[in-house]
Amino acid sequence: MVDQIHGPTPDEIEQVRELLSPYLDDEVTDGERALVERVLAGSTDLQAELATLRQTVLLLQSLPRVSTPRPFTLSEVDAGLARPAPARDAGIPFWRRLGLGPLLGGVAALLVVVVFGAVILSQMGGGVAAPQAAQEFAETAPEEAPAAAVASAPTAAATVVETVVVEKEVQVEAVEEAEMAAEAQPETLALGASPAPTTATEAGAAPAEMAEPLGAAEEPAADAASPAPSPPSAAAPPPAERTNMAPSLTVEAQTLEIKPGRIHVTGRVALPPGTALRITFWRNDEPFDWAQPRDLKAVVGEAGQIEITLRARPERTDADLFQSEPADYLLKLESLDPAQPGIAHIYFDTYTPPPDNDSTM
Amino acid sequence: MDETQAIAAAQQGNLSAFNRLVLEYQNLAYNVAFRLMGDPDGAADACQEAFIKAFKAINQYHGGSFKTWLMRIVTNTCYDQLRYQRRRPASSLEETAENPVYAVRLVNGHERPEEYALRQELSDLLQTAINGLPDDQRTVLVLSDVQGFSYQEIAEVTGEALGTVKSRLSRARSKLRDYLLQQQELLPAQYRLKSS
Repeated sequence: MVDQIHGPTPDEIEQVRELLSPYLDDEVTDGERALVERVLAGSTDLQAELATLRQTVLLLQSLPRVSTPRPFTLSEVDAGLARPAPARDAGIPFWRRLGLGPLLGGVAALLVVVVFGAVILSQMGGGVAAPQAAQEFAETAPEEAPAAAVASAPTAAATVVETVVVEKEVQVEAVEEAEMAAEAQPETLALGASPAPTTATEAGAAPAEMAEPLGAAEEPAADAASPAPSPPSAAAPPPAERTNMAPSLTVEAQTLEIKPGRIHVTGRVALPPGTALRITFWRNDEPFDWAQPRDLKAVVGEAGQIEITLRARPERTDADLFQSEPADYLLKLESLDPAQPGIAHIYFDTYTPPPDNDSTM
Repeated sequence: MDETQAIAAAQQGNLSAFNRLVLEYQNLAYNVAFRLMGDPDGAADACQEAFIKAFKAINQYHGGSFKTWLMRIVTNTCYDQLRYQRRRPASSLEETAENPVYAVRLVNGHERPEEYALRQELSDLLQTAINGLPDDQRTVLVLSDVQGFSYQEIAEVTGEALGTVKSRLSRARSKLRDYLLQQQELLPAQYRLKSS
């Protein structure tokens, strides 16, 4: 009990101090509330503590919500439902993957020696049957064997064409072909120099894993988002032309920072907050499989703010773009929201070294 | 498809259904992770990892609040990442220097630049204070005062008793209040704590 004459005791003050926080949240029992209010009435110190505690909570509650940098939807690979596409092994003959290349190379070299030896022996007056048999045997040898004999293992690996993952490529190409046909405009490389492309075609650009929010249509998002099937077109633009889709959006207040292994972009686009964007990276008008994740997405923040960070995949030997062959680069931003279509282009090149060896542009 | 149906479908291995749940909860998950870790890139990594773990463990969800089940995975993943970062302080510091908390995400399109600057100062100071709390106190503070979870929900997320949640929150708030009182001169005038 609070002593009405002498005020609260130190024990009571300590007890109530512990209760101030739940008291603010109305998470005290009736008895605790009565105690807090009686002791508070007799302690200006506790009143001050309660006031500052309340302000602290109000300040915390005023902290702004941050927008997600990208959708966190899972791909089948993320979820462990599919294996990642092999990037390095594609196109490698099975015997090289098994490490049999050197062995087959040795066999091929032995065959060459046998053939040449037989030829020399025949020129020296030896039997006729021997070189003929050797030649026939050489003709039936595996075609790859001589190549394996010439190429050492590292150089052979270096000649392998790296496979670019083309998830949903059919959809994307269909959309882009339709955009090309709809626009029929001169190539434009300046940002925001052309009107918006057709909207209907972009509806199909949403990747399958971009699901509808809860409460939306019953059909799986992949089905809802799929574009009308588009047969392969003989008039499909070659890859070199596909980056020249006229942008319909300008990136305002753009900053572009390029560091070894990392590209960071900020700016503003005229799209509503929450709009999902797909980011693709191009080098000399070809898709550039440099960044991870390959299926890079971003979400437009408040006031159209965008922030995109691309990181080089660990296996890339050209993580530092300025230490690689100079080239033209393009970051292409495409809205995935069919109701808010738009494309923006961000160009840079590495022909000129950044000032003071700083890769910030 | 409502949440219950989406969960049931996800438990049958339907990734599209699970991704509906992801879209529903990703903002909350990212905000919790962002406040717990104080770093946007770390928060994004933790979020992605948490959703992958959630999909793989979805058959262990047996009813109750899906939100608190999911947030338990998110907070535990954040703890794991924070522990990992502390074991590698050099890389952590480097990352912090290279990747500051980008203010662009916090812009409110309706406020004037000076208002934004003041609010940003306050936000930075509060985040610094939150970062200084012990993990267990930081979690209850973020869930309660930043995200608006009830005590009961926090108890479910953390797996602690209600009394423990109350006392942790009380200590966290007191520490934060004391910190802000010590930093009064750094707070914009209108945000300074007043005792009456």
